[in-house]
Parts: sequence; structure tokens; C-alpha cells
Amino acid sequence: MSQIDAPGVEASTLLTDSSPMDLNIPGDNRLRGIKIDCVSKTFNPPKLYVKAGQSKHKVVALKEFSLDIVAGEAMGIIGPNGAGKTTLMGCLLGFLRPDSGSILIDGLPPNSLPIKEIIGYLPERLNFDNWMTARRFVTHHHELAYQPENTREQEVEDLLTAVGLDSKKWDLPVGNFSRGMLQRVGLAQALVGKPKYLFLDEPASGVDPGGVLSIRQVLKDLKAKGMTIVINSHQLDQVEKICDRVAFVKGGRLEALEDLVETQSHKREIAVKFVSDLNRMPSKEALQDLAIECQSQLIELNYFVAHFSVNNNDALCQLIKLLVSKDYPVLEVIPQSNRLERYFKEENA
Amino acid sequence: MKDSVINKALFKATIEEWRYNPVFLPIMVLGYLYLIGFAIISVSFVSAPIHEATFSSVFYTAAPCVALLGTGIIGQNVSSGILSVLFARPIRRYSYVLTRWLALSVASSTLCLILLLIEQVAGMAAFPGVVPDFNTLCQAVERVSMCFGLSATFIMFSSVLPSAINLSAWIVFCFVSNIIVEIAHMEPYLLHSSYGSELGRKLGEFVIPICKEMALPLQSIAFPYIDLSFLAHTASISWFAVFTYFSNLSLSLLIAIIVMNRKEVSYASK
Repeated sequence: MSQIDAPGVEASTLLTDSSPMDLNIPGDNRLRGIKIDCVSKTFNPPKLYVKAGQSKHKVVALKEFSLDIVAGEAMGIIGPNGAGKTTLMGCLLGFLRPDSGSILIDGLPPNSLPIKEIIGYLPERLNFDNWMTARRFVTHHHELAYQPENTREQEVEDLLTAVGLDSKKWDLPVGNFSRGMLQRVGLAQALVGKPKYLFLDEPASGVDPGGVLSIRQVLKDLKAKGMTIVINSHQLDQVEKICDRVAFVKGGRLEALEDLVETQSHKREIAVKFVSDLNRMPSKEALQDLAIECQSQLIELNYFVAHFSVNNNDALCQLIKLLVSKDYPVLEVIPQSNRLERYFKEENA
Repeated sequence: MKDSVINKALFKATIEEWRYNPVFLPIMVLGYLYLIGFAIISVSFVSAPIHEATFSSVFYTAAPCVALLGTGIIGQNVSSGILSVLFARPIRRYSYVLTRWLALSVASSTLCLILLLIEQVAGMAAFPGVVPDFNTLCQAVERVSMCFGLSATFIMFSSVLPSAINLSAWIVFCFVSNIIVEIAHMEPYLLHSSYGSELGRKLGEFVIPICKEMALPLQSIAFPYIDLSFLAHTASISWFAVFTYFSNLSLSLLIAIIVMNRKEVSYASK
């Protein structure tokens, strides 16, 4: 059985029967979702450093950051290291106090108990009480979340199954677990209490490829059932496959907001692979002319693989159409870069 | 009860941590065995049964029990980052502080009372015919009061200081408060005797009143307990002692709650 097949419980069963529309929210429907309004956060150096005259500068982590996350959507937070992503997550969960601005989840501040009852959180560096077993850890959080005692045992087992943790490991102390196994236990913990909002900080960090696929499937199932998911991750393909929208954060500001559900229309690189037949293979000049015709550019021709830069989806369609109409032996068209990678390429440039 | 002051799940997990933690358990068992051995040996060395509790008998049994269990009781959680996951749950921070305090108090009191029981059994074996009396009950109350009071002090230091530094901080605090008490006791020698220089006398005039004012509050935070020794002589209760004890205990817990409420638990703040 593959890792993807491993979960015996549909993640969808971990959610409440009620859709997000049934949330008992005070006020009107406009309050649903997460509203981040002009949030700023600065970390001051410890007074000890200041007194000692050391050059510890204050760090501006968030600068007038505003973002609305609609209930039921999956929002990705990406950005370079030190961009302010973890600070944003801390503010969203009420762990950090913004210097100015406000955050409202379903119309209430993140620190309020009713909100804590409907959120789940998986930190990037989840530290465990090492003496606890995986089952005890999730049970402990089930108790902390005030979940009904009569269904506790079953729900804990369902959660551990859903995240694909081998049942032989359930009663072993988490101190002996690998990073990937810990991350699965952490995810099971985050899903306790059937949260409406799930905050994930690098959920697949240190997880093996099979585990990554397994976690992705769990998150897709949860999203399909209407859970609002906020993912902070450096794994761009993971973000792209799960999220509806992505916020690119840089220097504490929201640099760009990309709608991944919308038809993809952006400049990107593709590789066209031809059948290894020299007689039918087009020349470099012919491919260059063809690229110009559809407002694209031939970057290089490497034996039977041609790399093109296309401006948008229309250009890509036209390019493929022309290649086929001229009877060139096209074998496959391969995207060369993740859609979100361009933010970082521009950053590096 | 979602909004209860004491969180039952957290209380249970705190007690379980002491029972099952493979690093902590051997240290605690060894420490406790030492205390039992000390109690039995001390009984076999005295020529007559000791009825009344003394500060030493209370302190040297209660303080090690609290220190064994309470070192890093909050600071370890803060340093390890466990709190961020805990505070994502519907738990009030004051509830976290008070639950940890109650768990520490109950566990250390239990250890302390078991120790007292062992002492009594050893005493009865060493001095046949001697049975536990009212003084034994007073000893039990004094030890429990010190466990509850000292737990509050440990909780306060642990909320302010990271990791297991609360133990060192308490030891330093005890040391400093003892020095201040000793300086306050030097009044007759420094101010009223013909010995010593004029400078020493002037310094004494300035320092001693301050030390006298600080001595009692500091001592009652460092070694908080209800002294019931007056019951042996009078039947009336010293309400001042009782109020001092409870006000210091409340103050320690209040400081811990304020510190925890203000603490930013995200590792982004580090």
C-alpha cells in the first residue's frame, strides 16, 4: 500500500457535519473569515543589549500589512526568510501583539476563547513532551480542546490514521520519532476539535516524499469540505497545489497577491521535447521564427529539447498549435518552473 | 467547564509528566530516597521524640520536594516552545499558571506528607509507646502550607526566567534575604555598642532600618509557611501570620499571571 493510500480515514470525516456557512458567528456574514487590517509589528532589542551599548537594532517584522482571507479558502503565505511570515502567523494566532492595526477572525480577536475553539495550529518547530506517546499527545490535545470524552479514543485513532502514522508507532514515545513522523503527529494534533481555521507553518518540513503527498491529500480533502487553511511554506509546489490564493510577503509588506484559481496567465518557461528523429527535427532558425510569430522566445535548442519563454497562455497555445501544424515531431511540453518561483527569481535578480 | 480556573487536562498532564518523564523520574526518585534516608537517620540519632515542628523540620522536607518537582515548571515550557501549541487551545493563561501551581502544590504536599508518615513510623519504632498527636497534625499543616507557598514562589520565578533558572534564582533570593535578616539583627552591635567607627554607625543608621523593613517580607516570600508554633502556648490564632502568608502567596501568583499574560510565545519574537 502506498503512502497516499495509507490513510484509512477520509480527512473529510474529521470535519464537523456543518459547513462553514453554519458557523455561529455574531453579527452578519461579512464578519466571516480573517481580516488583517494595517498590522504593524516591530521587535525591539532586549533592554540589556541597549544598556550594554551593543548595536542591536530593532526589527520591523510587519509594516501596515492588510489582507482578507475568505472563509473556506486556502491561502498560502510565501516569501524569503525574514520576510515576516512567522510573525504574521504569530499575530493571527494571538501569540504576538501587533503594535498597530487589528486582526479579526470571524469578527473576534484571535485571543478570544471562542476563536481558540475553532482553530488548529501546526507550528514549524513543534516541540513535544518527549515522554508522551503519539496517542497520548493527541489525546491530551483532545482533552484540552474540550472534546467529548465518549468519542475520544475513536477520534484520536481516526486522526492518527488520517495523517498516515503507522499504527505500530502510536504507543511509542514521540522522543524516538523522526522529523517526518513528528510532523504527522503535529498535524493530527492540529486537526483535533474539528477546526474551522487551520494554520500551518511549514507542514511538510522534514517529511519524506510519500508523507508530503499524504499530507497534501489530507489538506485537499479538508479544503474540499470548506475548512479555511492558511499555509506558510517554502515548498512552492505544495502551496500551488493546495491554495486558492497566495500572498507574497517581503520586508514585512504584502508585495503581491496571486489568485491561483484564475486562469493561469503569466510569463513562464517551457521545454518542448521532440521525438529523436533528425529527419523531422526543425532547425534552430525555424523554431526562432515560429517563436517570434507567437510572441515568444526561443531560449535554447539542446539536441531534441527546445526551451521557450512564453508570455501568456494564449502564446503557449499558439506555439503548440504551430508546432503541430508544421508536423514537427512534438513528444511532450514540460513546464520548466513553478508558477510561484518567479517571485523568487525576480527577487534574486 | 470551558472557562474554569483550573484546567483538568493540564493538571493531569502535569502530574503524568512527573510520573513518566524518563529524565526527570530518576532524579526525583533518588532525591526522594535521600530525604527518606535522612528522615530515618535523624530519628535514630535523637534521644527523645520531637513533637513540635521547627522551621528546619518544615523547610528541609518541604523545600526539596518543591525544588525537585518545580524546577523549570513554566520556564522549561517557555524555552522549549511547547506553549505556542498549548495557547492555541481554549485555555486562559491565568488558568495555565494556576493549574501548574496547584499541580506542583498537591504533588509536593503528597511527597511531604508521605515523608512525615515515614518519620512517624520510624519514630514509633525508635520510641515505642509514642503515638502521633496534635503536634503531628500541626507539622502536617505547616509542611503543606510551605509546599503551597513555596510552589507559588517557584511559579513566579519560573514565569519570569527561562528554562530551569528558577531554582538558582530562588537559592540566590534565599541567600540575599538571609543576609538582610542578619544585617537587621546586627542593630545592637552597630548602633548601640561603643565598638565600631563613626562611619560604621552612620552607615548602620541608614541601612539597618531598611533591612528591618525588608527582612520579614523577603523571608515570607523565600520561605512562605504558616507557623503554628504559637498553638503550643496559646489557643488563639495569629491572624497576622495567616494574612501575611496568603497575601504573599497571592502576590507571587499575581506576578506570574501578569508576566505570562504579557509574554509573546511565538518564536518569531526570539
